[in-house]
Amino acid sequence: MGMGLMVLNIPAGRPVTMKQAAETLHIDEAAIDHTYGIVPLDPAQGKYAVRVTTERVSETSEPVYADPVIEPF
Amino acid sequence: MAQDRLIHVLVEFESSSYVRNAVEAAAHSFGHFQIPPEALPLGLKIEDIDAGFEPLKRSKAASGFQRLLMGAPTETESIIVRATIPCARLQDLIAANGDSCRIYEDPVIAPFPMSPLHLTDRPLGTAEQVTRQLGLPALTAAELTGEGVAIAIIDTGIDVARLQARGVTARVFPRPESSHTPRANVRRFSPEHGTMCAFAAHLMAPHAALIDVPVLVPHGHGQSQIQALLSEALLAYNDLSVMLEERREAANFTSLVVSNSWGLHRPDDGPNNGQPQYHNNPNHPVRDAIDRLIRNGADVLFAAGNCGSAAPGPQCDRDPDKQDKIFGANGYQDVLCVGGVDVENRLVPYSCSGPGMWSHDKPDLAAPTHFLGSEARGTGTADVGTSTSCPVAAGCVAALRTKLPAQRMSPTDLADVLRQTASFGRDNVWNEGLGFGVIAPVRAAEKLGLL
Repeated sequence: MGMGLMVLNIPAGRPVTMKQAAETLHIDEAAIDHTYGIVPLDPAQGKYAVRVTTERVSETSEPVYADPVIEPF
Repeated sequence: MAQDRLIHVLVEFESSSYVRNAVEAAAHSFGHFQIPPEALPLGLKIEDIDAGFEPLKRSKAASGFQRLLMGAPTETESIIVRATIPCARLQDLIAANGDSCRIYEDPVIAPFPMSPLHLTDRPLGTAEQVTRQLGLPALTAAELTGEGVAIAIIDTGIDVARLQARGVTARVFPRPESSHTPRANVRRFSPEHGTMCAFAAHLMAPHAALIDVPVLVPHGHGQSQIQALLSEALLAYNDLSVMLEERREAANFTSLVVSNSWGLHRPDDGPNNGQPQYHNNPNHPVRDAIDRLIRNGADVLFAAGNCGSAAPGPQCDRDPDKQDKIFGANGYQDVLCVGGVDVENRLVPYSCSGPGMWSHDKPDLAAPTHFLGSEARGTGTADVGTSTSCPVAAGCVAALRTKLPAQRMSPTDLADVLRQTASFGRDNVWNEGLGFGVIAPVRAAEKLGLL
């Protein structure tokens, strides 16, 4: 099961719920990793990230960014 | 050059009729062709000649050599003997014989030594050598000790007891808590790598606090692989940014330095919904998270990686075209990317060379590694990799930040100063191995007016 990251833009200062995130990204809410949450990337600009299961967002036209495995050097 | 030092030389001289006659006469007397004393160039004594080296004839017409034993020289052949003479006589020999005699140094040659870095974890120096070389006494005298600065170690976690056993007395703070990462959820395990990094960070900033941000955790069968998804690092950056923005734990610090000794060993190439991957996507969200951290005043450093084509690790891509590449966050413009040198400022062969995929001039700098330090991986083992170089450099930055908070100089501007003041580079010209050179915190402090 592959994971990816999706970015959503919400007007700054507005609280974001999982439901809103899913609607904004046009994906099933179940595709979002709820334990990861909605992570502010640039809250002043209303930019957030969610982690998604890539298989469950294959139909979306929104960008899905890679979430590769990183390791210590 | 010491005048009494002996030097090994090859002496080539013309075979004049006098020389040819002398050689012929010697052959009649001794039964084989040899160089009698009277045939030698002026000033060269028979005892100077190496009897174990057969004199050679060199043809002027056809390039090539023959042993003198094969026959008397002709007028178109010169003669070469090997000699050992004191340096003091060299000029006299040249002056006495003019153009009829030419002298060549015969230097000692040896097989190229196999780099010990290929073979062993044997340290190539000590932590004390590193701190002395980087100017710790001068920085300490100027009270540039990292006091009031925190260094976040984004790694596997820190074994505080081991650090203390190695004489490190730094305060170690846990990862700042945010709504996304309640502390109860932070997993811990045997943190050799993170402890190694923490020790290295502390070397040049002995009064800096450390923030333990364990992101890389065991996976796989037997939990043998230490790794994480990139999104976990993104989450950690968010936590640190929130800490800075809300001035919570950050109330204890005037500055934050973030050390990252991780990355991809090879470009990620899995399918991903037709989108660019992480390594080749300059707009990846992790970049937003790092940019935010830097805007908040944090200095962010990354290790260059250990897939240098001279000695790539087993986990590196076998394709040489994919080695020696600095990609992903490790090569972002505004982070400081750090390669590795040994304690004698020689590039370690596994250090990833540049250029960077996004910003050409990566690595930015190099810093020492492969020295006896934390011994976190076992007694007598070296702290290795650009994993060590990165926190060593982070400690240097923390030392400078003691009296230079980000409100006075942005991370971007400080990074420029570090590039400009690096040592052992090539006149501040970037090169693919060392970047702009080896980090030189004392020179940087002088330029910044901190010394």
